[in-house]
Amino acid sequence: MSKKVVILSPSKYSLYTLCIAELLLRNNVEIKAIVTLKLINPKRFISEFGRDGSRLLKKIWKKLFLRKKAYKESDYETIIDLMKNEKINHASVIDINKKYGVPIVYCNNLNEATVIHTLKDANPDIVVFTGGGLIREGILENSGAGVLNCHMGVLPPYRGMDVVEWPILEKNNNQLGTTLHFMDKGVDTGDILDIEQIIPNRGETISQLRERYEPIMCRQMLRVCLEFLAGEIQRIPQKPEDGKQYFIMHPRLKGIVEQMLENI
Amino acid sequence: MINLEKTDSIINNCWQAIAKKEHTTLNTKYQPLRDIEKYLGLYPLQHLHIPSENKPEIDFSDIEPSFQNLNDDILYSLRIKISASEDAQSTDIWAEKILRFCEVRYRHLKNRCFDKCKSHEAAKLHIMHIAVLLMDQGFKRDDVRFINTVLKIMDLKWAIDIEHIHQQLISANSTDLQTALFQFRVLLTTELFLRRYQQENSIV
Repeated sequence: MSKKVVILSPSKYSLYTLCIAELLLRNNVEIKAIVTLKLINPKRFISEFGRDGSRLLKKIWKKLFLRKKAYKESDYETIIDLMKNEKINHASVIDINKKYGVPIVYCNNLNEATVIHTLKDANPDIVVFTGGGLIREGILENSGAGVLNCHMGVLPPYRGMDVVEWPILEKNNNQLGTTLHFMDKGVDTGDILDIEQIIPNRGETISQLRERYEPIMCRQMLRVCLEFLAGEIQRIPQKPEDGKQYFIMHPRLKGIVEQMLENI
Repeated sequence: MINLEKTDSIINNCWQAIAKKEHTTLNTKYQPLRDIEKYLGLYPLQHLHIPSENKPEIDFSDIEPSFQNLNDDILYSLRIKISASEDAQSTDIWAEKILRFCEVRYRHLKNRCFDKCKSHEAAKLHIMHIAVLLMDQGFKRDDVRFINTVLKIMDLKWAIDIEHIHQQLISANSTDLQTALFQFRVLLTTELFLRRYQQENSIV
């Protein structure tokens, strides 16, 4: 019997969601639904602007307007290269619905009742989180074995935000990487399934480094999902005291990180 | 952003203004310049012998660590304990709670400080006092997250205007003088930490 998954997505255009959904389907995983946030949502905008400030505008410009055009030709693999290599041509989750009949559920907030009902009906083995804000108990309790997230830092030491930059600033370059973990009520404190180390390259900028993370995260999410669903991987619990929570880095410190990357 | 030369000039001018003041007037209620000597290293600033009598600390062991429960008396006592490396478990919890609050509620800090302090001047003093505590904790723990938060506080125009600290030091009444001294301390220590970090990747 095929395993059942629900995907929680930050937008219908998320390239990360498109890659993961397509690759899971090709590996005979049944996607019961893709739950995606509606694009126009003033409440979400205000809440995220409160957290991210002006960088939210840059994020919207890149993810919703430029999309694939945001990526330039590069000598490293980007998510666009991954899509080309894997022949993933979808522009939005609507294309996945047309090709495979996967239901698309739109919501204003991933924690709202419609999402909980969707999860109860789908009864998934796991939920795959590709972004869209904080997840509350109602979702966590109805997600089978749990909600899987790929964190852009090494857990447990680097929880929270800008965890690509923080280890560089703290001269812990061997602590750069991505962690596949289950979400819980805390900030990046859930059980760990897999850690993949990433080595920064000399002369690389922060944004290039971040772009380099994206295809790695897609592949890691696919691999770990399949391994977990096949019962081949164990959960490793974290202790709260094993890590610190990091927050958005101030531009002056980011400037130091850029300099440090030049001199690696 | 103000360039480094201008910042150096502001720091030097402020220190000269401070040096000209009667030293007893600098020993204000919450002692903004307490233990500042250890931060003077990078700048060729003349050492001042500011009397710092030990004011009574308050016992906050029964108070739940939170921004709402935090006041300037607790901040002062926390600073003393951090400086003396006493009761580290408790000071770490308080510092982490304050850090988290300032980060998560950053866009609402003005309202939250005003609601608590009831006046613009008291709110300014309070947020600068918080910034000094976070700097001291960052220094003590070699934890640059605290400096990160202080840099964000320094971007709050209602709390600190770097170009006016010197003027405030010259003309301020006693309440404003205390705030201006805190502002000066935050400016001096953040610049010192940033430069030291660029050179040595450590703030200690």
